[in-house]
Amino acid sequence: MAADRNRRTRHSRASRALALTVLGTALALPSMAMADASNGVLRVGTSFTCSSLNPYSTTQSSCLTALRLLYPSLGQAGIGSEMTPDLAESWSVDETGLIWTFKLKSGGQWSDGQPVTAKDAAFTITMLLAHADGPTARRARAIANVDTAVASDDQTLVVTFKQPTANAVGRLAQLIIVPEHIWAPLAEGDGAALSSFANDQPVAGGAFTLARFEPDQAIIMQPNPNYYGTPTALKGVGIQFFGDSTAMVSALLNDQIDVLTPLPVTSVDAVTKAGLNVANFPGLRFHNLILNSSENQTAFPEIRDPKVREAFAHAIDRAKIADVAYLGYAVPGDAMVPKVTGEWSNPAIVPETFDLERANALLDEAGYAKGADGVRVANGHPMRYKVLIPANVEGAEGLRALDIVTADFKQIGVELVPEQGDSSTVSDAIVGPDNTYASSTIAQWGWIPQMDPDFILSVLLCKQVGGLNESGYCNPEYDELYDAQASEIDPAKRQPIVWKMQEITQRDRPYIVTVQQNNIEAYSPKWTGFVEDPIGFLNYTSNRTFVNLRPAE
Amino acid sequence: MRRWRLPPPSPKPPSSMTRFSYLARKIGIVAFGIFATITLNFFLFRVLPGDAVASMARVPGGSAELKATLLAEFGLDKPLMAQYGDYLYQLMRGNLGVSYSSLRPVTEDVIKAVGNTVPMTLLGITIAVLVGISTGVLAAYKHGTATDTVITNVATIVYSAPTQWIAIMLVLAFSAYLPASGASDPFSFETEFWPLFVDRLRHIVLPSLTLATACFGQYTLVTRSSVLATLGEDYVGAAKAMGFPAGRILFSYAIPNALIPIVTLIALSMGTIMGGSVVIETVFSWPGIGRAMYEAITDRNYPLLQGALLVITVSVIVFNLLADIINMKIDPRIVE
Repeated sequence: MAADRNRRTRHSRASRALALTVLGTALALPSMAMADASNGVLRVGTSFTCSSLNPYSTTQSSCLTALRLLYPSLGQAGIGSEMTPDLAESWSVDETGLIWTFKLKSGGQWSDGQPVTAKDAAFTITMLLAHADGPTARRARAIANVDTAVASDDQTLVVTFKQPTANAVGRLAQLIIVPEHIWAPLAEGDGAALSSFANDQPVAGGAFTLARFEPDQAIIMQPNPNYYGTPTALKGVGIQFFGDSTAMVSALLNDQIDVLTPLPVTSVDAVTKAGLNVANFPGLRFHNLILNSSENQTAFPEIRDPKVREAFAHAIDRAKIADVAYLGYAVPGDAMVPKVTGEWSNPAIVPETFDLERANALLDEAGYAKGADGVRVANGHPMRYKVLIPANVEGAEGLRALDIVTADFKQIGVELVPEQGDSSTVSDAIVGPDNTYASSTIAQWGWIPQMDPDFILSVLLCKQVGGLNESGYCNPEYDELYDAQASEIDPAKRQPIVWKMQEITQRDRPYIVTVQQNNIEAYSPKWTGFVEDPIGFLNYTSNRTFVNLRPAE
Repeated sequence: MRRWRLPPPSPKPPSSMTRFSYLARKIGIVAFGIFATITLNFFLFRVLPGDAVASMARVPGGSAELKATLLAEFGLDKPLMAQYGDYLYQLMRGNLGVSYSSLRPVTEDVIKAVGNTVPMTLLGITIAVLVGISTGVLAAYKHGTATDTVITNVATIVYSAPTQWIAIMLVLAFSAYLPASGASDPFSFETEFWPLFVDRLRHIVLPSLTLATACFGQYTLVTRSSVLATLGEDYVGAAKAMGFPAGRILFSYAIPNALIPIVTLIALSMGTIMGGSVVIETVFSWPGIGRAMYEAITDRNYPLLQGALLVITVSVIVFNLLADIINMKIDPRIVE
């Protein structure tokens, strides 16, 4: 009996040990069937999450990037006004500048086997027009000024504009063309179903089709065998969404992802030392001080004084902000239209020199003398201003930048009092009750313009007061120029108008651009063909960052 | 030899009427608590400055018109009390609304997120409870020794360490061996049960371990304190005087009488099991309710926040009620 018990005990211990060994080995081994460069599956990690693949409900850049890979587009954006043909192999405009004709490629199929035709493109535009004030409002910019869209045959799309429209092809190329046979029933009535449709198993017709989508976790795509364009070298694409940058960088270092975007600047050294590639190149994103330009702001009228604004512009040590706050991964900024947009950036505009002596002299000239505490007095009150900053988007770098500005402004007798909030809070505080802009003075924020200047120039329009315009700036001359450039279809004639608008904003300074941030992205040396795109790897206007990558030899 | 038996330290049990009125009072408090939660959840985020659509409309193509369209789409252009009325009406019909970021029904998102959270937190809390109670009992039993000092100090340190720090330390230490993001390998197309199971197991280790590390200290300290208190009771002294074995005194008399604060603490932990941990789920990109709340707060996604908080607070209230009932069974004097 005792021997039996001992044997059973030994057997039990051995079983437990075996079970623990198997479990330990299983846990220690990398996951089976893990994809990597060796089987051509590109794994991208990002902190920008994606909650929905419905093009009419999402505004998240990572979702829009995935949608660009899944759905056909007329063209893919390049640098400046360059537009690469995609579903449209060619296009032309009539002599009135109103009627654009697109010749589409044939042979493409949706993932359910139906052909991709011009009727789908015409339906998409017509549907957007019909519901632009409701369910499709998020995508309405692409069809601005469009009157009608007709498919004259399966391969010909004719789009008629109400007025000549600059960058018409670029705008229409932003369209996510959806299959009519799937979306037409959703567009009936008030079209509410268009934005509430889950679309978690999209019928796709772009370079890829969807393999799996887990909201805010990952999107996995596989090549579309019936793609109308050149087949991609990739065997698949996965975009994984991370909630924490440390875990994301660890995933890259441990070969769990191939591309990381954006790479936190504090991780550049670790990633470089690990033998991974770090791409550091000019991006579109800029940061700026926003100066309240609204007449409704009466408590601190000196903020609208041109001399004060000029003094502020000279009291910003942009080089120090770029080197210290952004650890060298930024350059001094000048205008709202970044240099990387090429032809649209006005070369005459350069960053104001950092010159505290001149800034002090300008404020002295304006009659704002320093008080006993070193703070200047303007209109009977100290020049002490609250600076709103959305810490969730400006980040640690933005807060450090504001510290530098605050220290330098102190030397010109201006006291800044930073006040942090999230983007919703700051947005609300800037605009104020009833969009009056009555109570804010200065804020620090930034923008990510597009390669075409139309969007970023539109931010300061009078009609954007209460919308995108955080300065409350309203200048009829600027608005007229905007309309002129928006209807000029000849880029050569449009360029001087765009440059003139930049000169006006440089003169009036509703924004003082501080730095132009670089894009920092990391990728594994197992891959080649990495495109340094000013928009970033997650580019919702072009699929080129993905489709150009291929496993290194 | 005559075996001595100590009389249990329980007086005459209360009448069934007393127990009924105690329970009725508790259930009344629970009902009020749930209604207060529903109301508070609604108003809490709306009193903050900033609206839900400001960030959504700050995109290319954004405009004051888009803001107005989105406000109307989400019913945020109505007076606050009208929105509250709509919310209560829909809630009574079991409708938590739609998520602003995905336009999916919140109920679906919350159920899925809770389903992901529970296995991870259940594992973490179970480890924490087992380790915490064991070390707490050991520390109390070895009171005043080096063992007690080591256990108490380690428990105090991990209890006071920020959870985010613990999580990041574990990521840095183990991410070469174990995945540190997500609930499964998103790039795997495995369909077999065993590889899928192993993959899930590998992913759950670090977040559960973080939770266990962050939580076990409080169980240790509460258990130690509670067991120490009962070890000082007269009946324990009497048991010792009668020569009872130390193990019997500990497990038959001290621990059972030290259970009330421990049960209460475990009941409070049920809130964590249902509600997850915002910090842990964010660091490990765990697709649970905590991360959903983090994203919802960032996006001012009111319906998702309301739904998630409702599930968490209701579960805490209900588990507290269960703890009260269990405590009433353990010590019937409570009802008096």
